[in-house]
Amino acid sequence: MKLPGVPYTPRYGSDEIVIGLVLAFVLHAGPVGVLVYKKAFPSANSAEDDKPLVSRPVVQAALLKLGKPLDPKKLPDRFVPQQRTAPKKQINASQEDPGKKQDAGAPPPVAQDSDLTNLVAKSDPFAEDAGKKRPEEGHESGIDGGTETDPNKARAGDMYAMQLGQFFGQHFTVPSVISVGDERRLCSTFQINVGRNMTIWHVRMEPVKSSGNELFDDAARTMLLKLRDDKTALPAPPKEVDEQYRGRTLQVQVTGKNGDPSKCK
Amino acid sequence: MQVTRFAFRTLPVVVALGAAAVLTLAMPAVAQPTGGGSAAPAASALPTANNSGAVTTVLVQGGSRSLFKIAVAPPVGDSTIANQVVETATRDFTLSSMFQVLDPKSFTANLAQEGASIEPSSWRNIGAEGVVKGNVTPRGSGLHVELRLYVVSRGSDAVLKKEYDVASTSVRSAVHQFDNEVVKYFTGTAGSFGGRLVFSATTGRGQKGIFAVESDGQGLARLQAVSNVALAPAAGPGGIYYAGGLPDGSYQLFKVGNPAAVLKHAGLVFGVAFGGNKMALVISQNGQSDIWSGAPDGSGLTKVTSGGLNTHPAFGPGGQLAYVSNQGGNPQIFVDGKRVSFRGTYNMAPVFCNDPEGQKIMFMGRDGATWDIFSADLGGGNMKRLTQDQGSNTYPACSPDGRMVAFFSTRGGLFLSNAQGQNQQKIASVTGESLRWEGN
Repeated sequence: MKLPGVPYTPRYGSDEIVIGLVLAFVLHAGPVGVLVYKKAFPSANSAEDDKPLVSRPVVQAALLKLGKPLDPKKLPDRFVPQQRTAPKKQINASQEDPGKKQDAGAPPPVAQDSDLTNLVAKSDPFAEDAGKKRPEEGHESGIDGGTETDPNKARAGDMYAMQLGQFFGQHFTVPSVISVGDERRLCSTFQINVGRNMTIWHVRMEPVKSSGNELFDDAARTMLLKLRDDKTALPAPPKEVDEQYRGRTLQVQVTGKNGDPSKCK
Repeated sequence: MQVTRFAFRTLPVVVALGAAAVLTLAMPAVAQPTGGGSAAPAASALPTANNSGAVTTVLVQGGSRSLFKIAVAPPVGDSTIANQVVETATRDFTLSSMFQVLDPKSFTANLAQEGASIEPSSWRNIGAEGVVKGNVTPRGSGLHVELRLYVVSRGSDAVLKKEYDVASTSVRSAVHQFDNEVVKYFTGTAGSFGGRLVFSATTGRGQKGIFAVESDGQGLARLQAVSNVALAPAAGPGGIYYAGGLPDGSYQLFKVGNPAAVLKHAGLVFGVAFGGNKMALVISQNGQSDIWSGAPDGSGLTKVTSGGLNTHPAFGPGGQLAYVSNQGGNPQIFVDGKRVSFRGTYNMAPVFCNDPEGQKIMFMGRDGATWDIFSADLGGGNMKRLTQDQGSNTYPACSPDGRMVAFFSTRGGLFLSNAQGQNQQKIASVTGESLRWEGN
C-alpha cells in the first residue's frame, strides 16, 4: 500500500519477477508434459495400472410409468394375480436329501409327467388365468442383458451382481406360510463354492447367518442345493469381474421380495 | 545476489507447488483404472476382489411365493373316519390360502411300512414339504384322534403332535383344532378353522331368518328366532344376538334360545355389535337411525351419532367403533366419528380385520350397478379392491385371525378368500346379508 509521504519501494525487482514467471511456467508445464507423454506412449506398467476395479456399486433404480392422473374419488381396480408369461426352465425332480447328499431315493419321475413339474407349472399362487394360453414374454432370468440401454448409466452399477441376484431370485421360492411382511424382514446368508465352469460344487449346509426362521433358511438352502444338484451354471461373468466370481467362494444373502438388505448385516 | 534473495523469499511457495505437482502425478494411477477413455466407476460399496482374501457377497432380493405343499395321508383306523379327517384337513388347508394339498394319487410312500413316521425322500420325490399323518382309535364311547405334522426338510420326526378325545360325531372339530395348530406352528398365530359365520337371509315374502354355517361351509343351519323377521345377527356374551321384529311392529334385541327380549329400548332396534367389552345398537327413532353404545348388558347406553341414517356398527380389536353414516351426503364409513372412506359414492357394512400385516377395515362399495369388497387401512388409506367383474359381492366378514374374508356373491353363494381377495372359493350355496364371523 502506498502511503502519503512515504517513498514507494517495490517488494520485488523486475529481474525477480521474470525469474518467478519462468519458474511458474516450468512448474506447470512439467506435470502436464509428463501426463501428455504417458497418454501418448503408454508403457506395460501403465497397462497394469489400468486394470479395472473389480467391484462397482449396485445402483437401485425404480422405473416410473407415466399415465393419467388417478381420480381420487374413483374406486380402485382390483389387482388380479396372473400366471408368469416368461418361459420357464425345464425342471427335473431331484431325489436327493438336502441334508444327506448320498441319500438314495426312488429315481426321479419323468419330468414331463411329474407331479413336481405340474406343481411348478401352477406355482404362481392364485393365478386366475391358469389354463389360458398366453404368449410368452420376457426372459426366463427376468433380465435379458438388462433394461438399461444407456451405456453410461449401465456402467454406473454392477450389472452382473444384479443379474446374479436375479438369477438366484428366479430359482427361489418362499413358502406362503411365511407372510409377505416377514419375508421382507428375513435374510439368510449361505456360503457356496463356484467352479471355474460357474456351477456350484459345494453349499455349506449351515447358514453363515440364519434368518431366525427355519422355513426361510430351508427355502434358501433348497434353492442353492437344487442348483448344485442340477449342475445349473450361473450366468457367465463379464471379463472385468471374471476373477471375482469364477472358481471362488461366494456368500449369498437371500431375502424376500423387496426385502430389507440391512437385515442381512 | 538477486537470485539468492528471490530463492529465499519464495522457498515456501516452491515447496508447496512441488508437493502439489507430485500428488497430481501420483493420483491418476490410483483413481483411474479403467482404460479406453471410459468413465471411472464411483467408489464401491461391494466387497473387494477375492484375491485380496475377502468373500464376494451376492444379494438376492426376490423370489416367487409358492404355496406350502402339504400331503394329508389318511390316518390309520376306520376308513370312514379317515376319509372325514382327510376331507376336513384338505378343505381347511385349501381355504387357508397358505397350503397346496397334494393329490393322494401322487403319493409314492409306503404308508403301511412308514407307520407313524415318514421316510422323507419318499415325500420329497412328489414335492411334498409337509405331511400330516395320524391314527384314530376307539376310546370309551368316543374316539381318540392323534394327528402329527412332519416337515420333510426336518427329517422323520414329527414337529407337531396333538391328541384329542372326541365324540364320534366331532372328528371334524378335532381336525379343525389340529389345523389351527399347524397354522400356528408355521406363522406363530393360530388359524380360524372351525369357527362359525352367522347371517340373515330372506326366508319368504317379508320374512327373514338367521342362519349359521361353519367357516368351511359345512353345517348350514337355521337358528331359532322369536319371529319370522330376524335381522343382523352378531356374536355376543354367551351366544348369538339379533334384532327381532314383533307382531306389534316393534323391533327389539333378542338372544338365540331366549324368547324374551334381552333389552328394551325406546325406538326400533335394527342391529347390534359386540366387542371390546362394549355393545353398540342401531336404534331408529323419528325417522332417524343412530348408533348407541354402552355395556354389553345394555347399561349406560349413550348416543354416539346425531342425525341422518347411521347403521352397521362394528367394533375393532382396540374397541374402535366403525359404522356407516350418510351425514356427509352419501353413505360412507366412519370410525370413532371420523370419516375414513372417500372414494366411491356408497360404502357400507364395515368390519375390522386383524390382518397379520396390519389392521384393516373391510367394507362393500357400490360401483355402478354392482357391489364389490374393499379393504383399507384404519385411517382409510391404502384402499384396495378384493373383487371386480365377478358379479355383485356383499357383506364382508373377516376371520378372527385376519387371514380370510367371507362374503356373499351373486356368483351363487358364500365365498371365502384371503385378505387380498385371492383364492376365492365358494364354500356354500347360500346368500344373505349382515354376515358376521364369530370371534371377530
